[in-house]
Amino acid sequence: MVPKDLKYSKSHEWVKAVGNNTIVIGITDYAQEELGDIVFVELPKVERQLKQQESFGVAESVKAVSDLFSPVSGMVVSVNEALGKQPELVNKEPYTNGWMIKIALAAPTELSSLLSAEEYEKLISEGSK
Amino acid sequence: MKQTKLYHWHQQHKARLIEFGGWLMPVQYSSIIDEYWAVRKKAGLFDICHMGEITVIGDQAEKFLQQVMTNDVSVMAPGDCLYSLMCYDHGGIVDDLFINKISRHNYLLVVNAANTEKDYQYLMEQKSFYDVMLNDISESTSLISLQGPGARDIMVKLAGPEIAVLDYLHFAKGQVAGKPVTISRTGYTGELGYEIFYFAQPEPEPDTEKIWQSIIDQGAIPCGLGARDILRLEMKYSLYGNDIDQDTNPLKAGLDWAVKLEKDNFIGKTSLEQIKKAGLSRKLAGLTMQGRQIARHGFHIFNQDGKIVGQVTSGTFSPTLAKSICLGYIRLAEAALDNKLNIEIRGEKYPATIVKTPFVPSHVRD
Repeated sequence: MVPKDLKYSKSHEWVKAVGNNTIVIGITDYAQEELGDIVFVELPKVERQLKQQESFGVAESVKAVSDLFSPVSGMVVSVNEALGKQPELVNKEPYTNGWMIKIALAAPTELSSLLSAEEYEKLISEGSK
Repeated sequence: MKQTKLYHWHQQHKARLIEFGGWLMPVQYSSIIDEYWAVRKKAGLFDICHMGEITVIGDQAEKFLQQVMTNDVSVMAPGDCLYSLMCYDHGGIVDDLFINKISRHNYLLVVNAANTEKDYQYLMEQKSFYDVMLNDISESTSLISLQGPGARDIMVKLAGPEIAVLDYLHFAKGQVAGKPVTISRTGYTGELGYEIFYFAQPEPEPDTEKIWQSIIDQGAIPCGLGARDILRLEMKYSLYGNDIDQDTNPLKAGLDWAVKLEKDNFIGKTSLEQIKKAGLSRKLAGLTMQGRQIARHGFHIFNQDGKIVGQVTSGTFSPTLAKSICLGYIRLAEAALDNKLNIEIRGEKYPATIVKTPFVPSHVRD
């Protein structure tokens, strides 16, 4: 499942624009499926400055730990507190209630470096061959 | 890599397969946590055909086993299952295993997949003075495990009412899906459960699948090794290669109940007596963490002064407790119940507490 209205990173995060220079980040359905049951998500503090490609936290499943990377630069304006008690939301609703952080963009032009839904679909179909 | 006789079934049912002990095994079908709950609340079915089976047959079978096993084989009656360890002279563990006594001169050993060849070689080396015959029958033996509170009802439907009276750590012959099987009240999950052996004679391949499918048709949920690892860890059942190995001994692993030092003689006895006399420096303890991040094999455990006092051997997230749990060898002085320690995870220390084990109540005798 790859929603058309989102942008994607090669490290399997999705990005959704939500108004003035603000975006929401989560991980894709493909990523949660690969990780398996997520039991812990570590998220950054609000107001942390992130550079593009910087790790902003980890998602931990029974099987493995995976770093989470910010597809864009900016400041964290909020994080999904619900994941503290219900990390499984990332598995169940990766594109909605399983969102991770909201960022105020530092360099909006970075968005153009992200993948479209079609490009991302191509990436994962190649990856899973 | 070896495949079990259920490999095609696993593939058809979209199991995620991984290498384990030289075998390609299902780690999960749907979700590790869902499969975990199936076992704790209903009934789950595991393919454990990878386990090794070695027969010990001969007039001196009991005498031989008394020599190589730490537990007391002489107390066994036909139809009994007994957990035991095999140790080296220095007290290190060769393997942990189940001994099934079929008759006075006929025993079946159920050993860890990755250790099967090693165990067989080791037993061969020890047997020279004994009138016994050893056979590794792992290739022709299928083993599947039905575990959970619903396991008895399913077995009664499939194998008949007499199975209802089979007690924990006993086995009996029976039939499932029209195939002759041996059913034992054993498992690796802490739940009421049965392990079903099928000894194929001239390899009628689909037989194992027929047995497996007949149990699935009764409502058992197929479960992979992922769920199995959480289930066994909540019970503090040791996993060879993680919690115990040739460099650990049964006493510090808390397996002294399976070591009968009062027995005449057995391999490792002298060393284990000395270790006991000298006193343990570390022991395997269970810890819970406040948070959900998992303390994994090899992570360091610190005391309040910041000194390393132990190392994690196995760790996971306990769905029942909704927090992380782990096992680790801890310096005895720091291993007391309720002691507060810290575990380093990705460069940061997180609080952990020594707790009673098993982490969740056992239902094996229900």
